Amino acid sequence: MITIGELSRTVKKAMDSSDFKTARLQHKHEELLVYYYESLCDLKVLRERISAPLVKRSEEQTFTEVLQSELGCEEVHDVSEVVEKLLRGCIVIYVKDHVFVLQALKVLTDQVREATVEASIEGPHYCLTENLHMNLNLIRQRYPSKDLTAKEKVLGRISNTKLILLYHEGLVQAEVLAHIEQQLSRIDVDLIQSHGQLEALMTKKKYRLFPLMLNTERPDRIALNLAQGKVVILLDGIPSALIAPAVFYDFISAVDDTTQSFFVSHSIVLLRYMALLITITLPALYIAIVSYNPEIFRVQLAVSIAGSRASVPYPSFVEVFIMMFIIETLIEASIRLPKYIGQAATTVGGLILGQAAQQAGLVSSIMIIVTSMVAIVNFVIPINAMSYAMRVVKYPFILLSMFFGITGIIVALFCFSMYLANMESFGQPYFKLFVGEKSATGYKHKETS
Amino acid sequence: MKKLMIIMLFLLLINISGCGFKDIDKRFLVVAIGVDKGEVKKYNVTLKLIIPTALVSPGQSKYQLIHYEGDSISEAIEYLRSEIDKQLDLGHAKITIIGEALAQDQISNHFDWFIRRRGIQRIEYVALGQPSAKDILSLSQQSERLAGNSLILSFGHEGTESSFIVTEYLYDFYERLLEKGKDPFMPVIRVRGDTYEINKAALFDKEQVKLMLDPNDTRMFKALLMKKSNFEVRVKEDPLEYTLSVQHLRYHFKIVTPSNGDPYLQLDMKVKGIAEESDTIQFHESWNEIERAAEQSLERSIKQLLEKMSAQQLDPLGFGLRYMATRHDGEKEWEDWQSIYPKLQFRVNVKVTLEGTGEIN
Repeated sequence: MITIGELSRTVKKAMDSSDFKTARLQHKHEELLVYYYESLCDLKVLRERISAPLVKRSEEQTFTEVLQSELGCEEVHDVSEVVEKLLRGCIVIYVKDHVFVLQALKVLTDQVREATVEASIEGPHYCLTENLHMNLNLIRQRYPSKDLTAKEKVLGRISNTKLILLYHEGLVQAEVLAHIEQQLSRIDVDLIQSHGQLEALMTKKKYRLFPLMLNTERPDRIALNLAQGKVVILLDGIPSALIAPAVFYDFISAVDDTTQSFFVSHSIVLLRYMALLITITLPALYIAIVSYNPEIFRVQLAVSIAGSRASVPYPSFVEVFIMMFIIETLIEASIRLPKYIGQAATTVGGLILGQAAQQAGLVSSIMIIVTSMVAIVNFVIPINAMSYAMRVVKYPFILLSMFFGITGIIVALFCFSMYLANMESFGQPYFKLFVGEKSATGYKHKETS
Repeated sequence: MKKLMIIMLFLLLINISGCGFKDIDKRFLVVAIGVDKGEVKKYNVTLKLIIPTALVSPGQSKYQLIHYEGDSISEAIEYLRSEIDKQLDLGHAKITIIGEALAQDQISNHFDWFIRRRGIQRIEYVALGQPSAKDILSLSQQSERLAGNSLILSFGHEGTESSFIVTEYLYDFYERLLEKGKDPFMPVIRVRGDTYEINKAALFDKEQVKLMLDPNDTRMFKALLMKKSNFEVRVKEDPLEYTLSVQHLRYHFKIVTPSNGDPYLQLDMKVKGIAEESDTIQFHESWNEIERAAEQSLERSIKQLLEKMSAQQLDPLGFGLRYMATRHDGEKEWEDWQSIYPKLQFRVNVKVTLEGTGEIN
């Protein structure tokens, strides 16, 4: 029993908002009060499920009984729950000392669109949406298993963002799941809006370079990872999912890898690792070879490099810094720019600036090649987060090669692999080799006994 | 404040560099080193420096020759350093040419510097320059797109694969200087008109040049040394006269010292080849005769070469090393070999297989 007085006191604060509506519906002897947020609710629901039954109702039935038989409509006994329900897109109905809430959220973000970040040639084309339930729908369609368990949580004091933990019961490692749940329960913030933020909040280390969780927008990748016993975290309003634990290999693999034949896909993976090595070492190698050990080149090449560098007055590392600055700003600018201006920016930056910088004697022509090589090769890395990380990694390499030449690069490579090997993703080794690993697709690795 | 300090320190740091730091355009790349006997002092060192140009095109090679006399190679180089405006970088020196006069005495002393000096790669080539190293370095061939390139291409097996050019590396030469039972050799470069003529080889004992092989012997020597095919042999046995192009060559030898009788060296060679350039031989004739002629001709020239070398106690093919490796007499082996080698007999047995007559029928 909730009295009208109690109810109106509770919703009083919300009354100040212009989109909060109150309506009094009356038919014969029945009278009901309806509260809702106009901006959140679908008025069609109100019309079809409340107004219409009220008019059509037969004499012997009370309207309370009608509401009790409605799907998605429940009675609330505690008046404090009402506000939260209102904010979640429910219509609150007050009838004869009873309060009912009816789910009427208007969802506009459940349109399935094509994958843009992780586009694939032969794989499925659609990716996750910004709606949590739609995402769950997409995943369940791909993974119709009764063991697929979804656990809902709410994060953020203000945002109250819904979060779903998905895992395959039985395949998932219990300690990993416990670890993740523990980290999630520790989160205490006002607003949670992105996966990057969630990832940062879930990891204890403040100074971190590499992503510890795989951020993907592809339902097929999620399904594959579920079958491998990973935990998937879906956040409401974000068209992608976080997968944990992740290993280094995951960030270098693309979903397309399973669509090709053995030799094709393996050589493409190999190509990616070579690209990775080039993107982090090439600028450093340029400095080391040009300024410390030119005898590594053939004499013919050494002479033409010396010739093209002859007009450059600054030492090689200044040259590298200039070009790296230009290319990084160019990449950064072209991400944010609208498509129409973006093309102009790349033309100005890439063609004109590169040509002119060389002719002006600011950089050598070999450096132009090195710069564009580094940029192109960086885009080969399939996962965006890792490609960003690798953009940063090359600077310590440059710094060390400035001081110690080739030796510096070797030291940097050593430290780099040590750092990676030292990392852990939710208790699992990060830089791990897959030997004798169970395969979900029966494709990449055969199970070894 | 602390963060600001770190940033400032970092900014300072990226303005400096390590101590070995020297940009490639601030270095003078030395492509060839020539060492001659000096007129006043002991050595006359010539360096061929490449002047880099942005555009490299054939016939446009620019270089600078600098030379200085000194009592040691390092002294001469020290003086040369003061004559140029950039750092001398010996790391790209691809060839060292020794003047003929210098090769006449104490060759091992002259090579000491090359082995000890850091920055000199031991994979560079060595050659003997006739009449002097400076004359060789002064020449720049018309086709060169880079100073010294034609010399590098001649000796590396990228460009020409002439059967007259024997290649010798610095490390190998030095090894041969020290190794008992394996003597050093060098290709000989001469200038003819505006090209190089490289078709001879100079054989050294451990100290000086003892024997100059003529082009024909050099060709045979290269075949034996490198087991390399792709050369031509002129076969002249009455009534046949033709050229055999060797496609495939294999040989092995053993040194036999019978208790009763003279020691001899048994060399068995298998050759496959095609007859080229002949008016006398025909496809449907018996090939046995043709093969026999080639065998005799090859046997004779190999034997000639081996005897020439043994007469001078020269052993660039490493017979002595083989002898010592297959005996178990400690230090005595070497003394034995020295007495055996002058009277060693050579039994050469060549088996030629003709793969075709080169005709199209």
